[in-house]
Amino acid sequence: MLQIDKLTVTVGSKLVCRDLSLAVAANERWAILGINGIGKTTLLHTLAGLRAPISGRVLLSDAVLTQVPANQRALQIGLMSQTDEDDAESTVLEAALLGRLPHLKWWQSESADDEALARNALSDVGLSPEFESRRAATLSGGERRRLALAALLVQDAPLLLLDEPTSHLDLHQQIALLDLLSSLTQRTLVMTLHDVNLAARYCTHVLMLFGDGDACGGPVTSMLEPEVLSRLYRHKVGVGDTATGRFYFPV
Amino acid sequence: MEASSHRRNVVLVSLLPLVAVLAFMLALSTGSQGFDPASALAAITGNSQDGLTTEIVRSLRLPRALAAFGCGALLALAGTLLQALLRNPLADPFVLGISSGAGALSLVAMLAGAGAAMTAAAGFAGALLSTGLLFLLAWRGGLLPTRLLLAGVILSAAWGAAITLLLALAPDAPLRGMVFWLMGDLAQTEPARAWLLPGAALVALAISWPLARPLDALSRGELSAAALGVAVDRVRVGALILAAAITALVVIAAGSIGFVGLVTPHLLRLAGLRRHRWLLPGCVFGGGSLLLLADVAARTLVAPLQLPVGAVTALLGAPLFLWLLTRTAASR
Repeated sequence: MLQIDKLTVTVGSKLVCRDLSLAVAANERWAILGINGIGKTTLLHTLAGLRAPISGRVLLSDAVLTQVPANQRALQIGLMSQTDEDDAESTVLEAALLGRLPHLKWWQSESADDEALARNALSDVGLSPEFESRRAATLSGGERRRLALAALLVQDAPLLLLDEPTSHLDLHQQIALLDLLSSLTQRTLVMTLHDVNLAARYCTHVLMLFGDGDACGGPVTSMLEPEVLSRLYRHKVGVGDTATGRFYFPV
Repeated sequence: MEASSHRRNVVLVSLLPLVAVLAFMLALSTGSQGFDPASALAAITGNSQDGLTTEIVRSLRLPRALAAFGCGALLALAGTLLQALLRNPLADPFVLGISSGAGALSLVAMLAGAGAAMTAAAGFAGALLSTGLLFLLAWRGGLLPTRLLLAGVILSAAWGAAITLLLALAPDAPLRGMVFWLMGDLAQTEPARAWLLPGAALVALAISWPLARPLDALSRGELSAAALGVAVDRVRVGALILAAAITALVVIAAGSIGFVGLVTPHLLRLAGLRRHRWLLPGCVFGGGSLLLLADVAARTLVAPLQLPVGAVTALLGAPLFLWLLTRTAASR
């Protein structure tokens, strides 16, 4: 699905990754992990084709991402950004429907099918029909995250990139959102996460950014070891085993 | 769009041309010589037996009404484009200094004794120069709204100072005409060219309408729009150039007419036309009707004296905008 080939990405004078190569296969779920400010968002934007790398390339189904026309790219890749800027005017339904933009020619209106898709997506993220006519600007932080996810689902791209999708969400909503993402079939996910336990529970692979360009990725089962996580977070991380699985904690 | 909201948008956008027709009828039948609407209509269609009525309506009032409608429509379109482009509800065609640039160079041409064509050409050159300076000051690897707004405010202030200087140096004889023109004056419209402005408004609508959905996306932020496949810089540059050309055209035709570009998009949004595919056509008829009605007021409030329409829009626009501000806050 996504081939990363000797990718070097910087943010300001900081090296995010150097000569990183890995492959994200269809239907895999990847978490990008690392401490604050290490460049997770910058890397995600590079994978979204919104930022050019210093060197190397990202291939989307064998096409060099930076050479794919913007509209074609938006049909293949959806991005949920870290913060949603206010659109003072739109209603919740209108904001969700905006996800159909890459599918519509400029002269086309949204069809009844598009509306049904938007309503279903809103319902899937727990925004009931009463929300539809509310102004998006009046939503709480958590509701806005869910609306952003609904718009992403409406965009209907096979590769979804999510930047801290669980921020602003309470515990229940975090689990509900990640359960929903996990239940999506025919979708490949790459998301930045702060909670390593959520990454362990919901992702198949992790990509770790250690700083100074040092980065590596692989299956959750082999990557999430306490020594590696301690190095990643620059803090000793312990591991516990329970009946429901492993959990990680700061020591 | 939810069905009821879609229906409401269709009804609103269909009603606005009707409002425009009523505003035209009022403009054609009102003035120092009042006619009933039927006589004005007969004069327009060439069925009037009264030569004087036909002359007044067709040669005096119709060109002015067309110019007012065209200018209002263009100003509202430019206001909507700039409010979306700058992501700032206070943006209007005069905020970026483009109109002041057009005004300043037109004044230079007037002072040099140039004719109407040269004055118009100087106005366009001023608008182009101002837009070029704006790009130069605001472009940093992309067109950033905040930088654009700040550069526009500075340019506007600089051109404003130049205009004051030119007026101070101007001889007394043409001064009153210049001041009237700067305040926004529709009295000078030539009958033969009156259709140009509504025509230009329709052309501007046709050019801007394909930008409607990208502008909607931009209102959720640059990153979200880019992720949805919008060529952000291309849309911004296109919208800015279109808004600059529109503004230059209005300034050359009628001077500086404030508030129509600011207030019309707000009024229409409050009525429910929030998305640009509805808002842009709504602006043509809403803005056109608004300026047409303001011009009727300018011609009749202190008749037989005529006020510059820019003074009327400013007088009515300021309280209207404040009222809109309270309504907008209450509706959220």
